[in-house]
Amino acid sequence: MSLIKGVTLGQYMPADSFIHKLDPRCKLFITVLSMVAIFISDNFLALAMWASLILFLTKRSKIPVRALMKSAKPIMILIIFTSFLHVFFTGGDDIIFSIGPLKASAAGILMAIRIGLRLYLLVLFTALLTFTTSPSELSDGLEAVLGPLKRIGFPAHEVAMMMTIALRFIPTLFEETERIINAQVSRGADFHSGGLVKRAKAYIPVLIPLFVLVFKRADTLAFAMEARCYRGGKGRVRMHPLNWGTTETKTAIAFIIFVATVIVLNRCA
Amino acid sequence: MPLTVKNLSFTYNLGLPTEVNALRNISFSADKGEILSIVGHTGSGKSTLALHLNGLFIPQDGEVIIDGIKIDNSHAQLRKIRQSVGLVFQYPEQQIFAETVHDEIAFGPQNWGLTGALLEERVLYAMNAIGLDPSFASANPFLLSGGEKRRVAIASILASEPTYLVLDEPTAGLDYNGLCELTALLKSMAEKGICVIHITHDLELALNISDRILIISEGAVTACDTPTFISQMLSNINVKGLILPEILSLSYEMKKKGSIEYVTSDPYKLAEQIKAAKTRCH
Repeated sequence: MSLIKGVTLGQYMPADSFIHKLDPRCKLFITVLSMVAIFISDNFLALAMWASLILFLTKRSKIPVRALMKSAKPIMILIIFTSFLHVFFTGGDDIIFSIGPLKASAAGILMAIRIGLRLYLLVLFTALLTFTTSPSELSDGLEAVLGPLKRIGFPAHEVAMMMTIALRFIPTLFEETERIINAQVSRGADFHSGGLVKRAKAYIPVLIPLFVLVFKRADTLAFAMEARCYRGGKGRVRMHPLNWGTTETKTAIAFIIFVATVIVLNRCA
Repeated sequence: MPLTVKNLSFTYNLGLPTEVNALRNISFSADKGEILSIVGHTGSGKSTLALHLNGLFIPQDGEVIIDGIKIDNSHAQLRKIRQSVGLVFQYPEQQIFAETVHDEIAFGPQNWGLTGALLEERVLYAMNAIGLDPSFASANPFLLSGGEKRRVAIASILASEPTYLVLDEPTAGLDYNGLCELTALLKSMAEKGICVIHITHDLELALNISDRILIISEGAVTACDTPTFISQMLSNINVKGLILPEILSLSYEMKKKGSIEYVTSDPYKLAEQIKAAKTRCH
């Protein structure tokens, strides 16, 4: 019995692949560009091309497709909810069915499928980034990307470190939550029966210990970092300096060409 | 036997690169009134096994049978099993959420449907069992000391009056007094006819308090026998992460050389034998 078993979001999966070896700045560039491009892709051909690209990259990075699919599991409710809202709140004259004052048009249903697919592909693409990039590489990459903003006083290192810690702790928090859920279930807690309010109330014995634990962990982590003389980015050196080579340039160019093709097809179709 | 595990196997993240075979073909049984210690190195699969005994994990392969009920996905059966198998997690104080000690201890019995005088009786029973003064009932559990929090968490399991008590590393982080209190509690639970399954990596503690010891290594059972047999076995073979307590090693060495008559882990008895051997030499 497990409510969140097998969630893979935010996990790093080491493997010997060319995507794993890419400079994190290149992967960040590709991810950010893909986020924008997926959102301007609104026809099914473009979305199918994105799905094929994700599948191709997953195979090349030696990540099991099953693991990638699982990464979207915790966000599925959000995706379904957003799609559901689009069914009823997109205008259109050709009403397919109605529930009370809510009317679902054909355009609404199509829009819901498009939005759902876009969000799903977006989650899968960003999951690929965390699957193939270790937290320390990601932190270095983010810091380097945000580097120019340091001139106007932006704390690039600190922001990068915060984002990395947040990402690093996603799987840990899932584990902790699962452990607390197990402890309460073994004492007879029931998260499956009753109405919405009863189910929400059933989670109080999970949320309180989880908050206590999170604050304790944050305290311990801060002390552990301070004890090892962490004082932010000033004077900090890197063990593995970043290296943007020809592979990165070729990959980035190939990706830009792919995005351009998708945009053209999206316009033409 | 009331608790039987047959050919149990379990793999985490099946089909993923992070796949781990946590349990391989585990078989053993436990009876009411006995203390069975499950001993193994870190990562040997002890905690995964504990989760199976309470039905939190459903066997992927093999069977877990409690009082004739086989653990499977049936919701009603699982509730019955969870009611009769109390599971004390590692660092159980991390599960505390209620505003008072009383409410925390009452959480389990309330989930099983107890109310009124019967519920109060159970809370009082559990507080007595772990030696918590009734005045603690209205205290805020988050303000208690680490040892006290642990006792409250264990009491919250005992309040359900389980027939089987599974404890996963219950002594982790406890000081010497806490350790003595807990071992006394485990013994008293076994005397009351409860089957105590004590999961630990502390071999010395297991040898001292158990009726039987199950050694688990790399997810498989290495041996399951009496403490005497296990200590004898470990004096001859190496099991990953398990080192015989120094006094026992010394005792075995001296027995091999014929200096003493019998092997013992009691320092006073060993001293007596050494004294007797010295007298014989003179």
